[in-house]
Amino acid sequence: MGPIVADANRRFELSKALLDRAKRTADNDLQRSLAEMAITSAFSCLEGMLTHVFEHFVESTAFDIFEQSVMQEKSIRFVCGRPSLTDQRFHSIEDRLQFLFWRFSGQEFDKNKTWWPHFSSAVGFRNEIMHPKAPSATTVDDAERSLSAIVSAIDDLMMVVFRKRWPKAKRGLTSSLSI
Amino acid sequence: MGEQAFVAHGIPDEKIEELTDSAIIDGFVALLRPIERPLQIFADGKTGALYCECHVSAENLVNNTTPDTPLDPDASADYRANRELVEDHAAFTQMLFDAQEGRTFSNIVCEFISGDDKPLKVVGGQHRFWAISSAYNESEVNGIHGIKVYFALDTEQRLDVQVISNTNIEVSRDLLDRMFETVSGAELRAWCQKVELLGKKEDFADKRKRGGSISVRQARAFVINYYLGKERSKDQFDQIETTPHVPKSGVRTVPEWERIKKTYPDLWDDKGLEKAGKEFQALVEKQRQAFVKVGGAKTSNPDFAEKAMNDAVLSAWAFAAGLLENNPTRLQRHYELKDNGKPDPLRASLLVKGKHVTDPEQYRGLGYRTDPKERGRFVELFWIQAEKGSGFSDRMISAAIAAYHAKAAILDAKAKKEAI
Repeated sequence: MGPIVADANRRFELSKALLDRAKRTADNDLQRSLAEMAITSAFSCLEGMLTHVFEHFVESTAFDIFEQSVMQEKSIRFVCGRPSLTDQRFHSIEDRLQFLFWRFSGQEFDKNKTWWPHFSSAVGFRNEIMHPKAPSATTVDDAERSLSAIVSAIDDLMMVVFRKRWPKAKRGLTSSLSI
Repeated sequence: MGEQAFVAHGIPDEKIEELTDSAIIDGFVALLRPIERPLQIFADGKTGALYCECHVSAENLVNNTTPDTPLDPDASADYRANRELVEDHAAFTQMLFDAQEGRTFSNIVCEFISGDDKPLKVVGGQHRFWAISSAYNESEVNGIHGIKVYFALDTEQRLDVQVISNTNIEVSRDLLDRMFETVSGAELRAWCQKVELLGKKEDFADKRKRGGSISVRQARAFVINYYLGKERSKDQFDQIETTPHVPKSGVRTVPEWERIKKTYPDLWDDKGLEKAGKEFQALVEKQRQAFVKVGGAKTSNPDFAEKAMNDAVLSAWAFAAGLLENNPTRLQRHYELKDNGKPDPLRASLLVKGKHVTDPEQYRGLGYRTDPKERGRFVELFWIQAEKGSGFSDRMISAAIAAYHAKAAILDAKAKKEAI
């Protein structure tokens, strides 16, 4: 297991511990801060997992250059007529996630998955935290639904790519950490 | 006065009287029609239980016998004496075939309880009884079979009979393999001795034991996987299934083993295979030597010392040797692995850290299990090592595990796409 996964696991445990701590405080500001931290930490875990999954296929000849551009987050430019991966080009987390589901299931991503609406909302909460346009109104319930959706997303992702469940999903939102 | 039903040997007079009065022997003779008349009745020297040994036809046996035997017909009529029938065991399957071909069985242990619809109760040998029964019912095979019948048992005697009839020393699958391989010829043993996987005049293991001799199954796995690898040596490695095969054990016919022997009739003289065998034995030795305690014969870590003999390692190492047969440079690096690692060539302490994100928490790291996933991971590891030739490292082990899962995912996705 690579260091990225170890980091992702650590942040996942932290995220759950933050949520647990947020539930146990009566201080509104502290509760909101902890909920926000729980969401950002959970997204960091998901990003790490996506990077780890993509790392499996970086050198594979089974992916065309467009697919490699998505996985390596690079743009395609022509170099002396040959399509090449060059500058950094970011894709949204939703696109990268859906791409993996499509690539490994052979079917278009199913937005009727139970976790998808909460996952979309979680992306919205994260954007509001990272790029604030208005005061944050994230609640503990929002954070709990977001974390559950992210756990389900990672679990489903492992299943569709590796045909195995994500063992950490079994523990749900119970953290081994205490804050 | 009719024919005397039995002759008693060493039986107290009052017991003889009981037998005569109850007419239990007459009842048995009337129903089962044993070949031996009069019956010779003996008393067990330890418990005094009365019994005879005789031969009866399959027809009479099947029509009057049940394997549904209570442990204690009076106090515990609902609890059975016999274990569950092991229908999928290779020995039972063979027994069924043999019965169809007229095999005669003996020493089926029974108790005769007169008055019941099926008065003869099988206490020991229920698999033999089922084989006789199915051969008779399906093909009317009506041979003569030997039975040992107890009469008028008390509770203590019945328990004793049931216990001794169900106590056996299990024959290991390794021993069965060794017997079957010996019957089919001495080539595999001679080859193993030639490449020193076995010592001179040493035989295959009859039971798996840490640090023991190689078993028939392992030797077959080595040869099979060498050729499986060789058959794929011209394919694009990252686009083909490269999971080693572990042959079945405890059965007479092992299809993949038969196929390899038929496809490669000169395999015992194959110099490439011979070299691979010797190199593998050298790896096994180096791995063991790395854990020998200073000045002693004992190993400091017996688990790590035997890592090369793990089925996943053995089969994957042979598979990789076959894959690299057409690439002498990389094959040489594969063989030189034994000289690269410190303290041990397989770096067992690093292997245990090798895990994938999908591995359950109880997974102990690479090199403990032998399932297809573990075997496939080791092929990737040996393949990458042969590319670099530097021995195993943390990063190499992680890369190999990831490569195995990447390949499995890609092949699976390809199959799904093709199915659409």
